[in-house]
Amino acid sequence: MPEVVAERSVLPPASPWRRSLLRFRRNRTAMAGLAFLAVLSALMLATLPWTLAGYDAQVLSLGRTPPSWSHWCGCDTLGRDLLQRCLFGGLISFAVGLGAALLSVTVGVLYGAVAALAGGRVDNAMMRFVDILYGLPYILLVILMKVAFERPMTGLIGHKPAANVVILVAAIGSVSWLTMARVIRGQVLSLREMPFVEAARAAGAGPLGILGRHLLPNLVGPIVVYATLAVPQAILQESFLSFLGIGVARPVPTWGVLAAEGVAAINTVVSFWWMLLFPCLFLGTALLALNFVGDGLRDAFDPKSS
Amino acid sequence: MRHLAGRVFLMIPVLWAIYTVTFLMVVAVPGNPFQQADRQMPEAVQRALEARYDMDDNWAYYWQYLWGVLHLDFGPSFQYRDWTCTQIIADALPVSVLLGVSAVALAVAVGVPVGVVSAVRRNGLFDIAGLTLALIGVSLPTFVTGTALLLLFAVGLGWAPVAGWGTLAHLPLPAVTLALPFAAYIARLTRLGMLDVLAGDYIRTARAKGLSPARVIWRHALKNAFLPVLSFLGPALAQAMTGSFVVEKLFNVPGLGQHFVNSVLNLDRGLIMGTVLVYSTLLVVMNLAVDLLYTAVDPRVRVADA
Repeated sequence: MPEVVAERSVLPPASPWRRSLLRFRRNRTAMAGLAFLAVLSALMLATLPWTLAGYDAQVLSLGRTPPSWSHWCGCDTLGRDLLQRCLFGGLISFAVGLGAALLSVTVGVLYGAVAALAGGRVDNAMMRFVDILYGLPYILLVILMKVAFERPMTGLIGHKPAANVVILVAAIGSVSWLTMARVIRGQVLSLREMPFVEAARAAGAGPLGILGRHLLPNLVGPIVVYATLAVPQAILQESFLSFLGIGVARPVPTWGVLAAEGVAAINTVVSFWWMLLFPCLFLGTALLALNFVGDGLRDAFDPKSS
Repeated sequence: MRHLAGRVFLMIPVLWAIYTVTFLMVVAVPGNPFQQADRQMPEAVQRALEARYDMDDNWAYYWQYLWGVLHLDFGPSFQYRDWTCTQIIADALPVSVLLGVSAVALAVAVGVPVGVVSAVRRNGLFDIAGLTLALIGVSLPTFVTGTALLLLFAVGLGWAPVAGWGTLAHLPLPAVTLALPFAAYIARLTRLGMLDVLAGDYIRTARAKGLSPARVIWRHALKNAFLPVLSFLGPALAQAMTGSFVVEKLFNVPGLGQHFVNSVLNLDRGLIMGTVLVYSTLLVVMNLAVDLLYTAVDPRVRVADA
């Protein structure tokens, strides 16, 4: 029996999915990143009842007090507990990142796949449009979208901060799908010449059936990798917008908003260092972990790595 | 040569399309700088102002502005009424170009050697430390790394002025801040490229015929591994040369980046289109230059073209 067991463990798993999963599980930094993200998300979700009630609770007499036993991360200018704001803000940051990544992946995959399957002039026109959008500075598109849709969206939802987050997600997501569209188009172009697609076509499958049943499962690798790397990108972009004062509306915090407030609290005379340090610790470690996971997935799904 | 002329000629429709898309977006956004909620003007004055700035007839404006652009005349600024957009851009662009070119040069000078050494000593201490540093470089927003540099070198050590522009001493801090994410990305690109190339047969040949390891790595391998970095340099230079709004805001640098943000927030039509056109033109020209360099460096592309 021992020989059989040994032989089994030497054989690579049958499906490419399993093989990728196994490779990913062997990647220590990626697994550490994943574990960190899981713990952080669980912590932020578990404390939500308290942070939701307390993120905007102002005690002006506590304004700018350094970290202490009752306030582990200190208090901000308005005497709000910074730890609560960091935990609550992290959820908003994650929501913005996940939402924007989901949007950009959906739009990018559909656009790229349709262009590649349509082929010819339609493909050409669609990809030239992508080229043109690439030629525009992304910050311009994001701000224009915010300026254009903020008021109608607030009217629609009726809750200003919520409308603000929705617009932000839509703006970041709708400018970052371009790369995904290009990648997917290239993949579909090479996949659609494969014998199995021809066989499906010969068996009478329509273009939608081919896309859903035969192409998408083969595209899961690049989609997952891109989506994971798009999340930290979106979170970072939100933080830039917050720094410029056009991110999420006050008093709702995100890590970007908190870091920007921290930068504003640093000056040459007295520095309220905790207001910058703690949001940056959360932001930096979370983005680092997300990037580790994304890199690990890319290595795991890369057909070139054995 | 005919190929080159064709490529240059092709830039015209692309830029025209970018101009048209920008124009359509700007027109679609409601409001203009003359409609202020707190200061209502008599309707006649409002209409006279709009007529003065050709806002009453969008298509007339479209053609008139296009005609102006061909003469490097970007029209009057709606917000800074004593200035023309051409003056504003002419003042700000050289500042951004100097800052951007220094930053990208610095990023290449640091990123490429780090990437090469990481790849050669794969999974060694330098590789892991370098990769982690590079990931941190892309995981922290520039306003945080910039603030850290400011605190350390300007406030703490007093080696550089805190903010401003005008002397050579003002250049290093914003340039390093701007260079960090680029350097991190270039190091990762170089490392991946080198890992790919070092496994190639011609590297084994070069080693077998007795070339020194240094010569094999820096001359033979790097020449091919540099190609992905080269194609990244086109958009990177265009981006860096038109200014980073975050770095400019942090260090109080009077560059072009701030106008990308402010012109949209002020709905300053002339300046929006002017800055976008400057950016797009730089991007298109840089991409063309990179493609030409590509043919010079990589003989395979030349063969494919012929």
